[in-house]
Amino acid sequence: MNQSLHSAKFMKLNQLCLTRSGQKILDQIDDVWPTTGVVVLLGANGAGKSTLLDIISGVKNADSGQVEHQQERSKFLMPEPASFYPYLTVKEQLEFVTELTGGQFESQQLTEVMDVWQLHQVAHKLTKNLSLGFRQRLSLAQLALSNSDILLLDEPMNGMDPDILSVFKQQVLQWKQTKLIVMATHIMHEAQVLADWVVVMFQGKIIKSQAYQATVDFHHIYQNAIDEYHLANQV
Amino acid sequence: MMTITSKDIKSLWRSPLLWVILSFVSFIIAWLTWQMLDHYVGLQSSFASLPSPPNITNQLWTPFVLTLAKMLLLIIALTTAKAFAQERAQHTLWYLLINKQVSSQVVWAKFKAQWLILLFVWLQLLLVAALLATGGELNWMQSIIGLIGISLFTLWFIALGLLISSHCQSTGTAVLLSVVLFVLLWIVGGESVGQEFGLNWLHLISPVHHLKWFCQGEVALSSLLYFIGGVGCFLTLTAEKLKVLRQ
Repeated sequence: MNQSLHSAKFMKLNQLCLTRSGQKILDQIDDVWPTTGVVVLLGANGAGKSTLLDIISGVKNADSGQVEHQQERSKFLMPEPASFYPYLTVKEQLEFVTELTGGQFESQQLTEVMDVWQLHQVAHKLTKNLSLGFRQRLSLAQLALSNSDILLLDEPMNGMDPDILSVFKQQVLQWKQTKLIVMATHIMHEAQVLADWVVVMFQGKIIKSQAYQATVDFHHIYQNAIDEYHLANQV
Repeated sequence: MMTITSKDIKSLWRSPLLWVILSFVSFIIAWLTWQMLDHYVGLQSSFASLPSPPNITNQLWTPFVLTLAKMLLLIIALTTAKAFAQERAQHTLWYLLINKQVSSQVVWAKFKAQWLILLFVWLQLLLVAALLATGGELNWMQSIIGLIGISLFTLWFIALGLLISSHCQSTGTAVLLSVVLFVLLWIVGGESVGQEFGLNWLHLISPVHHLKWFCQGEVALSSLLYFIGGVGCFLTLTAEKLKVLRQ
């Protein structure tokens, strides 16, 4: 198990609630996560995963409750689908993200990130003209350039080709040494290779949250959590 | 450095539609100016017999400024609509909200990006002032005060446009709503509106009325407060709306 999970630093989700049109989107979300490593959020569509990511990132406010950190930490989001400014070039979009997240713009770092994600050939192309593959690469390059402590990824592996997936996994393994990566995904077999912590969400609630043991597969954890929840609610 | 302001400037001025509208507006303004000039020149011989003939500042410069102001409303409606409504439509608003960025700073950055429209205004005024100065005696003081007036007028409408944009989810709706409201505010400031009630209070809420004072060479404190206060008020309301958008 990752040693960082046993460190003293945590991120705390404290009684987060969000209701829209009378429906509880998030219901008393209460959990404690490590500040480094990969936390994988599992859950069916509508379980509240994306909303939780939005609240952690600060894009949305919860009706009540808060996200507590032991120290101020910067965050960056990779939403699904990826969205960019159509009249900016790829290079300008990356410069904008660097500036937005308060990072010092260094052309060397930009070049390195563009190398990793093979974006040089489209550097001066408007983002509105990018193919799906390059949009994914740009989205991931933004994460790298943001220099944020917490990276929030919403379905990052959807439609990824094997080449990008391989680079993505390498990057996540590298990032998780120093950052917290929260990833909402349906692609369980790929996510479990990277995970240090697994969270199962159901109807706006966290019904299971635990450190991940590589011996058990995600599908099993997810199914058990759902069964236990139904059983507990029947009683 | 790619700040919110520079990002907005690039996004705005790379849009072909804006250049089409600017060209169209420039053509219309040039056409109207030429017509006014032609008419004025035609009446020159009649003016010679008058004891105090009309001057070009009042007869040509002021109507030109008011015409430019009218046409500007169309441009401002288009550019400001993109500020927030387009961010919402293309799902990029999250970039401006992430890490709990301060709403007022975001709004101010977007407001600054719109200032480039002033360059278009100043360029038009400069060209016409130079043209008029070659054929007659332009009152430069009155012209400069008129220039300050139309600049404040532009900023006032930009701030209002940003507020409208923040309330809309699509660019088209924001443009339409802005045009309707802007035209309404222009009509309210018309000379004949509500004359039967004696003092026309509607005039005082219209920016057109205050612009006309500036064009006459009058710098009234109430007009300055009206424009600056309006800008402050609209920007504050826009920042508040941005906070609501996090909900």
